Amino acid sequence: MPTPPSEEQVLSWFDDLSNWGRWGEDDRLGTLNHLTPAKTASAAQLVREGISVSCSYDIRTGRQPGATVESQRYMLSTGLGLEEEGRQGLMGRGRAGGAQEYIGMVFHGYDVTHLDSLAHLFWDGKMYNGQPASLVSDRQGALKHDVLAVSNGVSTRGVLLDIARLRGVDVLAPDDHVYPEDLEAAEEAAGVRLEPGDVLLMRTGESGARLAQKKDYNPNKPRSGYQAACLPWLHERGISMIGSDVAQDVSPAGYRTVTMPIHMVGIVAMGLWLIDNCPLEDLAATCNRLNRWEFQFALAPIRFQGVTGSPTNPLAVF
Amino acid sequence: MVTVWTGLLIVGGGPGALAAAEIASGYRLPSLVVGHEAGKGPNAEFPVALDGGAVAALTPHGVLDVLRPYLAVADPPTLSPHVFEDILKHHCVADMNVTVYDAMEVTDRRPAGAGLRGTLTDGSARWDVEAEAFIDTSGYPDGLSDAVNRAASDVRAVLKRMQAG
Repeated sequence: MPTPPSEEQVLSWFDDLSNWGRWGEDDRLGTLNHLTPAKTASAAQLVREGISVSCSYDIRTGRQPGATVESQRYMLSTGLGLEEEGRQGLMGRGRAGGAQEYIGMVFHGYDVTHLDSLAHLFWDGKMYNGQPASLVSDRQGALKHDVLAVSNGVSTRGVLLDIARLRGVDVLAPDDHVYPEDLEAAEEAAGVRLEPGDVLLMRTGESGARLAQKKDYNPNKPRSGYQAACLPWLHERGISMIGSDVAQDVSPAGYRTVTMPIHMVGIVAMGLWLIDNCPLEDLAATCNRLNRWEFQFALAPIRFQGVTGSPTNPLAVF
Repeated sequence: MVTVWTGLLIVGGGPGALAAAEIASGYRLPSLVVGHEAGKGPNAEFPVALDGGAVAALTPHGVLDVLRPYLAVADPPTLSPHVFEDILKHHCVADMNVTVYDAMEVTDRRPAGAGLRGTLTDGSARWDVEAEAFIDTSGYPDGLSDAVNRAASDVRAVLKRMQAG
């Protein structure tokens, strides 16, 4: 296994890998600046079989493994009793009826598949591009770098690098971390090379374990993921967005001051967009079946004003 | 082997472990809660009122506010130890000052200054763990308020020692 970078090295990446000012003082897109219209157009050419695969968990109410707070659903009106003659439903008297609900959730955490906006994390009191952390407030939420930065969604080439498959295991051991060498070996095995503007999805196999164990799944445990050493590689390749079947970072990372280096350096310094908790079992099976590890990737976050991310349903289209 | 560093290592389980983690977090002291299991006291399902000391310990930094929607009675704050742990556990997982590793243990414990060193393991993988301070809640009293008060007292002692050191 490669030697992990020192803490001093990781801390130096806040400066060395910084994209602050690279795309202007008011930039809100961060690494999505690598995604060009030509890239989006060429990614559409990857749709040949007409197969679409979701990379999202179901959002369920009740206690779920890894949920910070249980997701809530309150029905405001339902169909209950509407078979009874004369019962008034949502749409008043007559033959029409309907249902509606309130939903609430904390999507950050280890349960919900979600996109982190660039307002999600701070380092030394700053967000990406030097914006002060105090611009995220109780009253107004995120005044800078909310998820509206990607209102138009993301459509580009997606690439699955299946590290569990590369290792020949169902799921990576918690102390088996993913290094740039692994990403490159997986590229070679898949016959692809990550390019600027691509979305990288990396599979550890953890989602297979979670799906199999259901409510017995223990989310509070060490886990594999991208080792911090991947940060310069992601920077050099110009990756626009990363996702995986874990919350990106290995745990424990082994650093005193920066416990989630992919999140901290990635979001704050690089402006890198992260999609946490993507189940990748169906995608891996489809890639295997088609022997194709690149696809059109599509993601459309909900247009929440002032919110630090969004639950999302990333799609891989073949 | 990766070394896991933490300000405060907490083992022993029960409501006192989570209370200690959240009180420490309020003082920005990072903690690692290892092998937490819910307390198995005889009355874990029955709501009990928190005493003044426990309320005072949990009120700063909004810890009591986290529990408020789940109180059986608002004043005095009343809830079962089971609910206390269920709610606070999720809060600990979301708290960036707290790391929670269930189904693990710290073996080969040995003093290191005022803290502790040992081996964190899930039975197969292993990590060195190094903590500036250590709290074992396995000897905490069963009563919810008593456990919270003991946790607050232990965290205060840790902070005092760190400030002195």
